[in-house]
Amino acid sequence: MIKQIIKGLQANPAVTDWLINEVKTISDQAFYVLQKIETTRTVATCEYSVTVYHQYTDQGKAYLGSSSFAITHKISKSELAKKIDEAVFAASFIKNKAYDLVTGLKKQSWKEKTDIIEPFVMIDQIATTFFGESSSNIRFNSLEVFFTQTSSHIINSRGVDLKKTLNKFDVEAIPSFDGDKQNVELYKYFTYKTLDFDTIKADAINALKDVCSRYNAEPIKEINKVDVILSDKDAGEFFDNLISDFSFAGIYKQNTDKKIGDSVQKDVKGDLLTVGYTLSSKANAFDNDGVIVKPVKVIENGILVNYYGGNQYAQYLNMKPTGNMSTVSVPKGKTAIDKMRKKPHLEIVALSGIQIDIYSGYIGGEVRLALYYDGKDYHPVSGFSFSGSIDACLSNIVLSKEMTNRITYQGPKYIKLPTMELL
Amino acid sequence: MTGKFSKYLKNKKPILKQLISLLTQKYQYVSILATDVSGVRIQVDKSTTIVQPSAITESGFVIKVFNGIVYSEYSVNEIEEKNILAIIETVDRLAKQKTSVPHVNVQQLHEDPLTQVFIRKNKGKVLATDQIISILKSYVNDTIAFSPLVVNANAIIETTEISKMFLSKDKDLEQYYTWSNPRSFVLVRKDSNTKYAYDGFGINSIEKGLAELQASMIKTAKLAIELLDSTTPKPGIYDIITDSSITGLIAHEAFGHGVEMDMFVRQRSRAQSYMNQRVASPLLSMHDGADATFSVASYFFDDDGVIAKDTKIIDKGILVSGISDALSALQLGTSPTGNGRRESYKRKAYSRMTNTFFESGSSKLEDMIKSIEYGYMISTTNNGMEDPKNWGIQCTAHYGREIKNGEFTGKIVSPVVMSGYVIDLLNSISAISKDFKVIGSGSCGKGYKEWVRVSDGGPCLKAKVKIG
Repeated sequence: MIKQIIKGLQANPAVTDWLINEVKTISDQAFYVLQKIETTRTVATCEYSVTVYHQYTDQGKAYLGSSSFAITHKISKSELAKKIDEAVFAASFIKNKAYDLVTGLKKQSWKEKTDIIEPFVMIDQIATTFFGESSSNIRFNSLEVFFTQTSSHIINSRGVDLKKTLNKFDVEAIPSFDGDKQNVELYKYFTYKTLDFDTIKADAINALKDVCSRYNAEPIKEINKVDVILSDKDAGEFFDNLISDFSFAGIYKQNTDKKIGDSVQKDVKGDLLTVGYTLSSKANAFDNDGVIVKPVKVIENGILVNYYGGNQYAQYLNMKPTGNMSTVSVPKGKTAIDKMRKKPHLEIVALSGIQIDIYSGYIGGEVRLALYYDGKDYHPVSGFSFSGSIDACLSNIVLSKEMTNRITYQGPKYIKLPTMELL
Repeated sequence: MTGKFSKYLKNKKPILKQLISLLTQKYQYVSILATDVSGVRIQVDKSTTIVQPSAITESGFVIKVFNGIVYSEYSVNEIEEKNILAIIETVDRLAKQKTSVPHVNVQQLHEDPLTQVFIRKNKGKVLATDQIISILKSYVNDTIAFSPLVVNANAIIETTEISKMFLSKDKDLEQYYTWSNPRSFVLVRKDSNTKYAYDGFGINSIEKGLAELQASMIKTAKLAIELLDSTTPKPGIYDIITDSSITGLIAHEAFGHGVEMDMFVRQRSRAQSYMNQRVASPLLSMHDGADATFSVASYFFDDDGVIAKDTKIIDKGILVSGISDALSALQLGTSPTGNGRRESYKRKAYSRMTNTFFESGSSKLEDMIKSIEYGYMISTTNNGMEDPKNWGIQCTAHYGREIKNGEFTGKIVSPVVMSGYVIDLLNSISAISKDFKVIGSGSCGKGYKEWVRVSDGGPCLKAKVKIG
């Protein structure tokens, strides 16, 4: 199919450049209801995204218009020619400042190693590991397990020819506790790049432990302000939001008035932050433009030091693209979690969803489960919300020595935010 | 836009029927959902223009079989004469997968015979891409010229045409329909204070949608400028009036997810044990359905081949019904409601909301505002999160306008994060306005995945909520 697409693109003289992204997906999936299997699924697809570029000048200025279309099944020569015609027609009306496509010198490919031959056997083992930790009233009322292998192949008219194959297992688990006073549940989502059944077992045990805590949780009373500890995904989202406007596109479109050299943290009494992006795995080596991605520090010791992102906007700012990455990276902190936990605090286990608005400086969320430490004992608490100011958080944030390594976040497992308001 | 049912799917029909016939020799139940969804998203801002496929562009097939024990599905995007045997082999392999986990006790799906074709075309002119780019560019220029505070403006339209075909031994259904989503986003700055506002709506006319977007862009710019003076609200319990967007968000998060009946099968919903009981103020009635109103989720049949319906969920405060996909209804012994939806042909069908709304009431909005001693009028959905088993709720609005002694004070707060207990919130509703609006521009996930297009809305509500 790729050869047919290239032939079609080369046959159209108005196409000055092109980029093809072929994505092959193989996925095996199993869906369990009340710890029994209900549905099995297999997915096998191959799809193409084609971007057509049209370079032209108007009143002495150079422009590069582009337009993309999808090929979701085999099409005839004439159907392809029609799609290319429509795309190049649209591109000829797009007045984007000219830039160069990524160039490539040699074919390269990356593949995540996997010893998975029969994914359904592994899916079955994952499910039995989860269910093996449950009891009659503390169990997983819903469990969905997905194995996904995604192969991407990017080719453009400037010599880029890159391939990568990535694998992962995703597990959506709903631990539930049916008790005398109430029935409760929590939402858990795990992603595994490799299968370590000790880790999976620990995740299952902790998920069930957490839902027991939710069963015993009480509303928090008479506490108006407290230090809050976020962990894992919530910590990652905090840092991701913090640097989201510092992409080349964000800077070029003036989403922020901050520039390299500006301080992101004011009146720092806590830890100075270093935040950036890195590769989720070595094999995830290039982005959708064909840029070979490189880890980048966006904030270093509280100062904005680099922008990040893809090819087009990097060139508009006369900078070198880092490539688009989605794994937030933060170095480890200086404080052990045990020390963080010494003073009264609220450790969040589950939120409805963390709410962060960088422009209003707001951070907060509805707490489904947290552990409140009053200086003597821990109390599971639920059914209230916390909120605070991002600026105050940045002045006083404390990062843990303990690290977490997730697909979307590699950094301190715990972060402590000061004196949040509770309601 | 082609304006007609997919030629590709029409051409595939004979081979799909052949495949069903072959699989029926081995399996108790066989169906194929075939999809061909295409669309374009055009986005213009001050510096760049992007033309790309709509996010829901897809084309493929879901082959579903029941072997008497479990349901199995094979999602694939090429079915041809030459790979038909390979497809059957894959289906057989999938259906024969051994598992050490016991299976649910589920029966064979039964369908009433039905052959029907449904068509709903875009109204008005279909504009070419260059014409749309030119219109959007002029809106962006006008919005930037509106105020020196405007840093950037985005004018966006996403147009989609959907062809779906559902085939089984008893069913032969085809549907073709269109939808467009114009959207605006404006960023403003004063000194180092940056704020934004956005708007979006759904409409079945590209021409009308583009015309309405012009006013939406300026309205959005005015709001963004107003938000430069916004503060965050002081946490507390407040009387509020919701606009239709937030009313819809409450309907969606409070009782929409909780009555998705695949949650009943999984014992994940507290609503299941509250059937025919009071769950809300007697003023409140709530609906969901692809046939309940005309909006983004108004299809003719769902991804299980079940004809669209209008389901009354809450009747005068009493919970009377849930919404279901075919497999969940089968397990519960109920009739499916036409709510079986897939993110795409690559994903499983779940019980999902479509167009969800509260019925309008009898109060005048101005009287409701006058009745507020101190509180806010809360507007424009940002996001929300469900908690169907424990009835927690979190709804985030983009902004709220302060009301004191029945009058707007001119103060504005942003963002407004409401949370609390669903039953407390629904029972606190003390007035419902005569107005009615459903906003067809949203998407909804189940948990944190499985995104589908939904609409929600209704009248304005007066309620008491926790703002944190």
